[in-house]
Order: sequence, then structure tokens, then C-alpha cells
Amino acid sequence: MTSVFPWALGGPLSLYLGLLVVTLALHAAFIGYVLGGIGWVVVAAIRGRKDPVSEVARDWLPFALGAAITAGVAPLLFVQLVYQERFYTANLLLFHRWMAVVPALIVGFYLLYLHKSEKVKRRGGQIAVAVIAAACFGFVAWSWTENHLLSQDKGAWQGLYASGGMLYVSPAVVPRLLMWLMASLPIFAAGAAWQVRAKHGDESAASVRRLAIVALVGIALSTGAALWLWQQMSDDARYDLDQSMMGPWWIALITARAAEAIAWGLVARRPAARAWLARASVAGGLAIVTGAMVREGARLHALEPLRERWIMSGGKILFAIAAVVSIAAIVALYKIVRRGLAEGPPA
Amino acid sequence: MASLPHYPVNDFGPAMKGMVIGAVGIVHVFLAQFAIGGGGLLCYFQWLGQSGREPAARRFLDGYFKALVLVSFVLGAMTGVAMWLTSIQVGARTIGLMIDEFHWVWATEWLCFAIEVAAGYAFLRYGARMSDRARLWLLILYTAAAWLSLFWINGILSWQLTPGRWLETHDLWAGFFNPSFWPSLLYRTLVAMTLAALAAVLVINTFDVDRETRRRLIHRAAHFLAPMVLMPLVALWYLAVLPEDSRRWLMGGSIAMTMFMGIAAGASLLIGGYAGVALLLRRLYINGATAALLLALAFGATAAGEFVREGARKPFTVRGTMYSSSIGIDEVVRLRRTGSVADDPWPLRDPERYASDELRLGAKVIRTQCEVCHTMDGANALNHLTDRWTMDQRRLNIAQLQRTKGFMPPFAGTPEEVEAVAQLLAWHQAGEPATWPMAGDRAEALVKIRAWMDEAGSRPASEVKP
Repeated sequence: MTSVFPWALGGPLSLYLGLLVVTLALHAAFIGYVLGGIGWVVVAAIRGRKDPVSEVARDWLPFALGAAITAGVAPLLFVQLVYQERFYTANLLLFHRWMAVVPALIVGFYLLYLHKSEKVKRRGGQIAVAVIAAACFGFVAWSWTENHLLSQDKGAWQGLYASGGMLYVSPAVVPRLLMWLMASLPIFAAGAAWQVRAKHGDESAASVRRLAIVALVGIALSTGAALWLWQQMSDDARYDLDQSMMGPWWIALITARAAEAIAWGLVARRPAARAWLARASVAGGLAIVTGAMVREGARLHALEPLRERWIMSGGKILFAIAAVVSIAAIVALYKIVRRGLAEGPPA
Repeated sequence: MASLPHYPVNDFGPAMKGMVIGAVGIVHVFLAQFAIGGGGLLCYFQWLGQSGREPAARRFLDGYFKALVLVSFVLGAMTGVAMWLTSIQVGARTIGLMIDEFHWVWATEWLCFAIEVAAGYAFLRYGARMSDRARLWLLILYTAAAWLSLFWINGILSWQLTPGRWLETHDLWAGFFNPSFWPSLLYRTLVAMTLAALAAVLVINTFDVDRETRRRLIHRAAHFLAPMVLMPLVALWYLAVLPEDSRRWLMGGSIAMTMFMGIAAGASLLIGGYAGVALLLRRLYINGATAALLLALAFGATAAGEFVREGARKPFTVRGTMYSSSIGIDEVVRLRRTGSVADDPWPLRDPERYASDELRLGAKVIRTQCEVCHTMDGANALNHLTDRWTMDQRRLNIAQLQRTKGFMPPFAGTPEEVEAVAQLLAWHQAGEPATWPMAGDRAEALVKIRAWMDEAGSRPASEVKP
């Protein structure tokens, strides 16, 4: 690729890569809420104190996980196109893990519903529910991290297969996992801050301030982990990220992250100021999209060659129409709910 | 078809790979169809409630929807993700081909799924506080999205069995609207309605309401069982559009498949009979235990039906294109020349276990061509299937695999590879001794194997003339 835009790849490959980045960013937004939220819930359960943020998280986490899984199906589809051989091979090599990921997610999902139902009254039980759910999601995050890195490390494939090993050891696993986990904190902070404000109005200032501090900590730690990851990256990945066409994406990511940090800093000082929370949220959104692009930039060398079958493949118009209809359906859904709530239930 | 990459092959111990994806697939299909039919049933009850025909309808709706979300949105969605992951485990090349051909259809299906989930969660969260009219519209949106999701996936799954004109044109729509598309879609819709009604009867039994209300709700839910009367006709239509060889397996050619089809038909008949006579005509009450039993019977019918659908496709994963071994139909001729594992980069996990290079070659060939459906000593074991064969029988039966069993693909390798597999089976059956001498005249054996292979040809059984 010689341009900053993925369409320079030409043909369907650019479209697939673009859709992969956009849908991955959507998935990351929801999964960030889940990871950050479960972290907050664990701390609140251990401290034994209910606060407006943990209440909001308890209420919305099952939906956020459902949305994250739904949103995650789309990048799972596009990754099978643009990195087919590598993605499949890494999945096959870590197959024990993949057989365990789904049960772990199911357990975590039901625990979120259990936590929401407040059927577990004892503090020890509440801590156990939160910690086990967090462990399930942590396991899934770790598995995806290893899978992603293994898919890039062709040199390790045959040795891992021959040994029958279930673990892919790489110095990049820990910093990468840490980077994503810490990056989830500002995402959760943004979502929860809006929700707390909507629910508690002016009384939410203390909670919003705490969320702003958590977001700042998350930005600082994820940046540190990213620098650590850079040192542990393969030469191929570093080479790709060093290319001039990646320059604008780096600049956009760093600018978005810096703007997000400044905005959160101002939210911490003036938690009632809605405008700064809006700026932090927008900058956070841009950081997710540009971060997803930089993430793909590190593995451009691994893209599948353009296939004749893709060029021949029909259905693009179908998808375009379906996308428009879907947006209309979501708008209609929003209107139906608003009107239904305004009219209220029958007496 | 161009040469496809070699993927690592995993050993699932005594379980064959088909069992793994079968288990996940059956659970997923059952839950997904329940979610689709459930949407329709909810619309029906919402209408009954708001039109004053059923006073307890709203109560039913809120209880049933919670069950739908907890079972279908969690387990259904997660088993859907599991389907991707296990499909890769079982046949990475096959799922890769399906993705390459139908990714836009799949992406469209994802949009429908996203709307289904959004409408579902909106109803769960706000439904109780909404007006009747808005609730009905929300449920219609949910149901339409859920059914469209089935519509798109059905096209891809039925294409695997009956690709139709796609084989000549490679046109997406020719493949999508293939010969079994409509009967399959209609049949699955009827199954979805049945599952939703049976689950409803079970859920109604958990409500704390008087017996008369419960009986009334059960009778209303049973209305969704009435379309089952069409099932035999649609099943016959489905059977009629199957390729002739597939139909032959089901009609006695493969007794296992015939029996499974019988189980599916018998279980459906029992449910339909009970629904028609007891629930609809005589308006009987039905308790939770019986409802659970009927639902279990429906699960059995779904499992047997899915087994038959998968089995009827043999020896292909995509008919006329790719065999169940994930080897392309057009690759066989080349692989008979070059060998199926000549460029396989994946080493054996325990090479020192084998007594010779020939046995190591045999192990690699079995891994590539046989392990998707067979194990050595576990399920569908090669050892069990071949341990009474003489050495020449092994050679002949492997060389003419598609004649040995019509639902097996032709052997896709060299005569040396056939011999290596035959020797490996003999060595294993001899207790895996430390040395395995090159017994007999290999050159003569290879000539015979080549002649047998040439005689059977490189095409599937459906194209082989006796």
C-alpha cells in the first residue's frame, strides 16, 4: 500500500480492509465498556460499596456484552477474507483455547445477568460473581491477543504444531494485552459518565470526576504499554508501521489520544461541564478508529493476495441496500421506543 | 480450482471432527430456530392482548421474552460464534470457500442479526413501559429481522447440498436460490414455529396463574403448531429436489441415514399428532413435564434432521466442488500425480512412533484425507472398519475408495500413498511392532494399485459408471 487510505490496495481488498477497521472499532467500543465496566464492578464489590457508576455498569453490562458479541461477528467475517490463511492457522494451532473461549463467554454472560438480578445477596457471593466474570473475559482477551500475535509469527507455527503445545509464548503478549485492557478504561468512563449524568443529573459530579481520573490513568497506562509493545514487536510489524503512508494515521491517533487526555483532565476539574465530556468522548471515538487502523497497519505485509473469486463475487449491491435499510430500521426502532414510552402502557 | 493451502490438522482423540461440529451445530440450530419462531409467537400474543382477545397475553409476553433472551440471545448467539470457530477446526478450506463466495450475503445476514438483537434488547428494557401499538411494531421488527437472518443463512447452507446452476455459472444468485432453497426455508420456518410453541407451553407452566388461564394460554400457543400439518408435504418436496445419489442414501442406501430420517419423521409425527388431537381438537391441559418431554422430542427430531442433511451431502462439503476431506474435486488428478502430502509443511507430532518412513507417509496421508470423518481407534475407526481385510483388499478398497463406499471421495494421492496407508493399517492392527519390514513385492503391488485407481477414475461415485 502506498497511500494513507486503504482503497489504495485496489479492488475488493480495500473495501474488506476498510470494513474490517470500521466494524472492529465498533466492536472495540462495546468490548471496552465491558472490560472497563467489569473492572469497576470488581473493585466496587471488593470494597463492599455501591456507587452510581457500579449500579449503571451492573444494569448495562449484559447489554454491552451482547452488543460486543454481535458487533464482533462482522470483523470476524472480514478477517477471514483479508487474513484467511493466517487467521485459520492460528485458530487451528490454538484449538484447545478456542474450544474454551465460547464456554468462558457463556459463563461470563450468565454471571452478568446474575449480578444484574441481585439474587446473590452475600458480599462474598457478589465478589465471586464479579471476579469469575472478569476472569472469563480476561481469558477471552488473552486468547484473542495470543491468536493475533501467533497469526503474525509464521516462524513459530510448525514448532508449536509439532510440540502439540497449548500456549504461544511471545514477549509481545503481555504488553499487547495490557494495552487493550488499559485502553478499555477511557471507553468505559465515557459511556458510564453519560449514563450517570442522565440518571443522576447534577448529583453525578463526584462520580464523573472519578471516572475522569480512571480514564486518565487508563490513557497513561495504555500509552506506556504501547511503548513497551513497540519494543517487543516483530521486525515485519515495525517495518510496516514505519512506512510513510502510516504517518498520518500515527499523527491522528496521537492527536486524538492527546486531545482525549486534555479533555478528561478538564472533566476532572469541572465534572458538571457537559461540553468537555462530549469532547473527551469524540476524541476517544477517533482514537478507537485510528487505533484500529494502526493495528491493521502493523500486518499489511500479511494481507491475502487479491483473489479472482472476490472480484467475481456478487452481493455488493445487496449489502449496500441492506446497510441503508438497516440504518433506517435502527432509526425506526428508536422512534418506536420513544413514541411507545411517551404513550405509556395501557391502564 | 487453484491449489489451496495446507492447514494444521488437530486430533480430537476418540471423537471424530464431524461429531464436534455436529454437537455445536445442532444446539445452535435448535436455539436459533426457537428465537425465530418465538418472535412470530410474541407478535401473535401481542395482537391477542391488545385486541382484547386474551387478557393474560401481556403477562405471557413479558415472561416468555425473558426466557427467549436468556436462552437464545446468550446461548444462541454464543453457539453461533462457536460455529465459526468449529467450522475452521473441521474444514478450514471449506469455510474459506464459503466465505469467499458468500461474504456479502453473510455480511447482510449480520445486519439482520444486529437489528434482531437491538430490537430484542429494546423490548426487554422498555417493553413493559410502552404502549401496545409500539410493542407490536417492535416485535414485528424483531421477527422480520430474525426470519431474514434465517433466509440468508439458508441460502448458503442449501447451496452446499444443491449448488444447482452455480456449478456452471459461479453466479452468486444461482447458488443462493438453489434447488433446495425454498423447501429448506419453508421447512425450517415450520420447525421454528413448532419449537416456539413447545417452548411457550413449557414457559406457561412456570407462571403463577390459575389453571384455566394457563389452559387458555396453552391452547393459544398451540395455534402455532397447526402449520406442522404441512411438514410432510414440504419434506417430500425437499426430498424430491435432492440429487439422486443423496436421495438414495436416505431411502435405504445408507441404513444409518435412513434410520435417522425415520427418527426425525417419527418424532415430528408424534409431536404433530399430540398437538393436533390433544391440544387443538380436544383443548387438553398439558403440564410442564409433558411440555419438556415434547420439547426434548423436538430436539431429537432437529438433531436427526441435521444429521440427515449433513449426511446427504456426502462425499462433499460443497457438492461438485469440494470433498469432505476439504480437497477440491478438480485437485484429485493433480494430487494423484504429485501426492497429497508432498507439500504438506506440517510435521507429525510423534514421528518416532512409526517404524518406517513409509508408515510416516501413511500417517500423514490419513491425517490429510481421512481424519475429518475417521479416527484410528475411536469413532468411525479405520481400525475397526478394515481389520478383517487382507492386504490386497486394503489396497483395492483404498485405491477405489468411491466404489468401496459411494459416500466416500476418490482417493486423492499416488499409488505409493495408497500402499503407505494400507501398510500403516496393517502395522497398527499388528500391534505397532518396533520394526516393519518391507514385506512382499512393492513394485508389483504399486502396478496393481495404479491399475485399480485408473479403473475407478478420479471422479466421485455419482459420476462413476460400473
